[in-house]
Amino acid sequence: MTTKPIDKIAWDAMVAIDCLQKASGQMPFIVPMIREAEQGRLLIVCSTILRVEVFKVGGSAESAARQRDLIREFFQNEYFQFEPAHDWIADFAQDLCRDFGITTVDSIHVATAVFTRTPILLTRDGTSARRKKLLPLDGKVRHRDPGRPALRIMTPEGYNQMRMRAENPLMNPPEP
Amino acid sequence: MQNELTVKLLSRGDRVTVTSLIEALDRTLVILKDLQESTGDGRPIRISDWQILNISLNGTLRVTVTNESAPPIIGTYMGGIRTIENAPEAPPAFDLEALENTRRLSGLLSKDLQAIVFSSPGEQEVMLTQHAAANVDALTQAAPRPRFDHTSLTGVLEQITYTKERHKFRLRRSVSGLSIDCAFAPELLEQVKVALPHRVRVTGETKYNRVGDPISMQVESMELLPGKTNLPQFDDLHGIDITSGEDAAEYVGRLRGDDEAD
Repeated sequence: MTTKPIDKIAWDAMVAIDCLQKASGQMPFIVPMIREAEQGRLLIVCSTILRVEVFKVGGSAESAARQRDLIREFFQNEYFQFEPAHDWIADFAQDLCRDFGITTVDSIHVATAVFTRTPILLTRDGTSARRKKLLPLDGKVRHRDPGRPALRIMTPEGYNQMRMRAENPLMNPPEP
Repeated sequence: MQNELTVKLLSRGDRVTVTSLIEALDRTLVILKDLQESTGDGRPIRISDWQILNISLNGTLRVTVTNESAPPIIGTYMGGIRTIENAPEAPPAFDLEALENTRRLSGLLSKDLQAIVFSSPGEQEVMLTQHAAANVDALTQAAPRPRFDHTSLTGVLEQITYTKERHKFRLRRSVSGLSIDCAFAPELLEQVKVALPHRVRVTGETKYNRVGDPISMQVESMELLPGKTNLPQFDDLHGIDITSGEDAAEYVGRLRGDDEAD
C-alpha cells in the first residue's frame, strides 16, 4: 500500500447542514468529499461552534431527539476534526472582525481554518443575501506560518471544480 | 569524512512518497547552502555539489549525501536542528532564511512523514519533529507567552509511560500531526491501557505554546471514541431536518444575525 498525504478541508456550518440534510443541489459536490474522507484521504476540520449551529431539528420531540443523536454520532467519525475556540482562535477572530467587519461566528470559522493550517474553507454564504460575506475574503486572510499562501475560501462547487481540473488537466480552458 | 549527512525518513504508513523524498532532500540542501553562505569563505556555493553516497531501503528509507568541497558545516547543521527542536532559540549561524527553510522542512511532517532523522559520523543523531515547526514559528512571529486553557481534545492515544514518578501518554492529533504529552492520575491507568491505540477525547488543563499549539495536558477525564463500525455513516443519514426547508446559507445567515451586521 502506498502512502498518500491526507488533505484537510474546513467546513462552514451551511456546508455541514447541506451534508446532513442531503440538500439535492449540493450533493454532487459534497458526496465526493465524504467518500474521500471515508477512505482516509481527507480530514474535515470544523469549529466546535458548528455543532451548535446544526443543532435545531424540526419534527416531533421523539424524532428530533433521534435526529440529534444521529448528528452527534455522525460527527464522531474519525474524518471530522473539531477544534475548540480557544485563546489563539479567539485572538485571531478578533483581528478578523476588526479588519474585515465580519460577524463573530464567521470569524471563528475562518480563524479555526487558519489555526489548524487548513488551506481551504468551504462556505456558501456568498450565495445568500447576506451583506457581510466570507467568499470575498478568498486569498485575503494571512496564513499563520510566514511564507505560506493565504487561506482560500470557496464554495463546495468551486472546490469540486478545482479538484476535477487538477485531476483532469484537459478540462482547463486554453490560455487566451 | 567531512560533510557526510544521512537523512532517514520515517513514514506514517508503509512507504514514503517520491515527492516527500525529493522535498526532504531539497529542503535539507537549501538549509546547508544557507549555512555554507553564512559560514563560508566567499567561494561560490552550489547545491549540485552535494552527491549521493548511499541509498538504502531496509525497512526505513535512508539517503546519505556528501560534499567534499564545502567547508565543514554538518556539525553546525545538526547542532542547529537540535537546538530548534528543543526550544524556540535561534541556533548560531542560522539566519532568518535558514530558520524559514527549517520551517518548510518540518512542514513535510504534516503529510506522510512522521519524522526526519539526521545522523553523521561523530555526531549524535537528531530527530526533526513538529516541535521544530512550533519553535521556528515562535521565533519568527511576534508570539505571546504560553497559555493555559481548560478544554477537550481528540486524537489517537499512542504511547504510555508509567513509572513511579511519571504517568503520561502521548496523544497524536490528526488535525495537526502534533503529539501532546498527557499526564494522568494513576486511577486512570486501566482506562488508558484499554484506549491504546484508539481515538479518545481527553479533557483537562491544557498548555499551549507561544504559537497556540497545545503541547501538554493534565488529563481529568478521558472518553474512548467509538470506531467506524459503531457510528452512523453518510449513507445512514435520512430525514434530518434542521432548516425546515430554508436554504442552509440563508438559515445560517439569519442564525448569525446578518441583519445587524454592517
